[in-house]
Amino acid sequence: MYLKDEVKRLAKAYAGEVRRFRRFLHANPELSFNEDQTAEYVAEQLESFGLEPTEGIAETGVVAVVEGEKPKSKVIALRADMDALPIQEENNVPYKSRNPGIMHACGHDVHTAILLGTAKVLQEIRTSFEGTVKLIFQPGEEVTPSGAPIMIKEGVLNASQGKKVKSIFAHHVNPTADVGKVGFKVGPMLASCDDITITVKGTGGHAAFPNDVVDTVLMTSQLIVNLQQIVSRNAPPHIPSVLSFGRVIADGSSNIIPDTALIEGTFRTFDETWRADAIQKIITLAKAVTQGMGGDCDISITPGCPSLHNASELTKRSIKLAQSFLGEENVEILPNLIMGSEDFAFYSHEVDACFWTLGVRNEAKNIVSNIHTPTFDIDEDAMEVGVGLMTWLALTELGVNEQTIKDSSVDEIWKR
Amino acid sequence: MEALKSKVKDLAKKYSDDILKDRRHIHAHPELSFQEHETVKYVEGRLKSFGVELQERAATTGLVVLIKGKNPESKTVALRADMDALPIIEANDVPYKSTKEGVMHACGHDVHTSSLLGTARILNELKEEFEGTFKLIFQPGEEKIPGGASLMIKDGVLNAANQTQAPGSIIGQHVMPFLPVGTIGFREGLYMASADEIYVTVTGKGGHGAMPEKIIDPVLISSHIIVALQQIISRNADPKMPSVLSFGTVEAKGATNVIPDVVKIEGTFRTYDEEWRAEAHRRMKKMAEGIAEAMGATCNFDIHVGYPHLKNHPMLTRRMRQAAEMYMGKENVVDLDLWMAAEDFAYYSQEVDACFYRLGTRNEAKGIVSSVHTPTFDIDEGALEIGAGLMSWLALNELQSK
Ligand SMILES: [Zn+2]
Ligand SMILES: [Zn+2]
Repeated sequence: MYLKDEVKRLAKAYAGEVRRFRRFLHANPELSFNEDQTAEYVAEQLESFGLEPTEGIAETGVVAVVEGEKPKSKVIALRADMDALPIQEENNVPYKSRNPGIMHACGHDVHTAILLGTAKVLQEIRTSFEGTVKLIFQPGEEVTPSGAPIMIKEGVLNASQGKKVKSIFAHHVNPTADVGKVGFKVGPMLASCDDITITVKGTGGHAAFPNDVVDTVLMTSQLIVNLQQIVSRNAPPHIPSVLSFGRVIADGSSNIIPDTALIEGTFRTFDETWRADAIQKIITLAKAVTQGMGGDCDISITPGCPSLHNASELTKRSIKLAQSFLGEENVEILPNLIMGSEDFAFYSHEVDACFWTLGVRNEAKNIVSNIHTPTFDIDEDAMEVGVGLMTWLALTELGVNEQTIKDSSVDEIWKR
Repeated sequence: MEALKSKVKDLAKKYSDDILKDRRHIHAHPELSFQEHETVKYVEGRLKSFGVELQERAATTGLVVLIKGKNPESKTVALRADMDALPIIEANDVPYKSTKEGVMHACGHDVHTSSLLGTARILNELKEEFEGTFKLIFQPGEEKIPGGASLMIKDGVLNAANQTQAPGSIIGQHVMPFLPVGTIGFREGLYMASADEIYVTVTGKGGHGAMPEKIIDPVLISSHIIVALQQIISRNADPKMPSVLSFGTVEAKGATNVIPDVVKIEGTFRTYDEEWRAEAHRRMKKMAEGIAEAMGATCNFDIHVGYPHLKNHPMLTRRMRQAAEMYMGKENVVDLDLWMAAEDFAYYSQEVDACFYRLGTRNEAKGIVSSVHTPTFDIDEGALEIGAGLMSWLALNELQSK
């Protein structure tokens, strides 16, 4: 039997179990870096497959390895995020969240369940491939600072079996694509995201005496208008960039100018060199405008995720493999960059990465809600697709191909 | 006149303790604008006790009082005090501290009222010494739009009544914590500004900060409006005409990554010319609405029209300054700068010859230095005798001038 067919068979065979994983996780959601129960549940399942998980990485992360033959030959990684959101679930389903005010509204329950299913399949066919698959169950994707950079700092991409992780794969549910479909994008895919907080400092006072005042309200307005040129004049035109300010608070009154004013915004783009340059330019301009007007400002930029880059060769190869695994009609090449962000991006700056979207929509079943909404849900048939494709991409990255035959005895290895 | 001056000074000295008691009573029992029910009753009672009987209520909690001398129909001069307090919690630790938590005479209107009571008593005693009538105006609600002055005028205080002429001139005073006690300040011509409140709502279309193409950003548009409106002062105002446009509140309640639908801006516009003021209103509105429209948003530009500017009649003020020099000594009378704050005495100044002067109340040695409208505002009470005596003297001079 071809290994590829065996992967499909096992993904189908374990679909019920993966659904059970997902429903347990969905009913017991936990917020970022509080994924204690979730981690425990994940570790228990992994142990039941015969794996030896390590807990407590980046507080609540879990890592395990599935070793094939010659485990030192190559190491690749698969990643799932585990955290839920502070949203009150409004779905009336048997697996509805039991934790008030917390909900898996971004599908991380789905990612975790699929990675558990993938682990189970890989473990079962471990004598049919060479190399090691590292399973990364990551906490805190939804907050800044997020889980990925901490996992990296704690060494998840470092030498394992004497080999550094060569490449990493992950996916994210996509409620705008029908179940059965997946989407890929070569190169930049998701934006970097930095939070900007500026406190404009002047000298407040009575509005009738402008000469005694260093006007924080006018400085704030000048600053917001002036900062438009970061995107219109400084950004290289071919690099998409957005600078938005959503919050401005000058808390004086009709006749009192306040001492300080607060500006909060976000900067997003797709190039790390330009991102660093832009942040420097924003700081310089903000300082110059306020100081030039007789005031000053405190500006703090909290770096969030970098932009997410899908390694070109790896992703092109993955697209071909997905096309043959799912059928060409089910693989979409995403036409546009997405200005949203995702902390998988951190891995993509360390090793070759491939991140794709997993369709979960089903209009017939009225499953259409967006992520981060209280009515978000998925068509659970997507999980069989997820387990199958993730397993297949992992295996092929380790050297398996369409002709590889499944090893039918524990002692004997069949290849080619 | 010298003899009359010493009579005034003697009476002011004689009644200074009573004036101080009145001030402390009123200070301890402050009432907010248009709620001066107990204050006006107290004023009525005190005046009766002085034998001043010609009293008439106006604007509900206001009082108009006539003190007729000889030949009362010949000429009328009006004198004005305001009576309302502010919503401020008094922080002074004094025996006459406000007994009403959250209400305080923090603008010295207690001083103006008690001084005018003293003036009433002095003038009433000197009835035989002058020809004509004094009309004393105790007005409510100086601190609150539309201003008690405008209501008093509507009720006819500047008209002829009770066999007296319409007042040809009006005199008012205000405490000045920047001037030392014993000092008086005058300014001929333009003195205090008109003040209008501006409330702007810019409505765009909010959304996620990462999708600028799907939103109409009211944060940016508001900023453009505030920047552009600077040219109302720098390019449109006559450079010789003092004007201020300030914005003190900006409220965009989105988040770092969420652009709100609406931004609110609040500000004030102040100047010294009624025609320019009206034109500036039109220009600001048009510019803000135009910018918003051009950027795809809408703008509601709401102007709450406040008091007009206050102009001191030059000849009257010059006469009053000279009389004050006689009473106080030349060295104790100073010239004032333009003052961009507003005062509803301005309404009277638009109708009749007006003189609004400042009464020094500062005493650094005693630590009396706080500004008006602050919780620690107080006065050197030595100012009260001057407040009552000087106003009597100025009033007598004006009644006798041709
Ligand atoms: Zn997510
Ligand atoms: Zn006042």
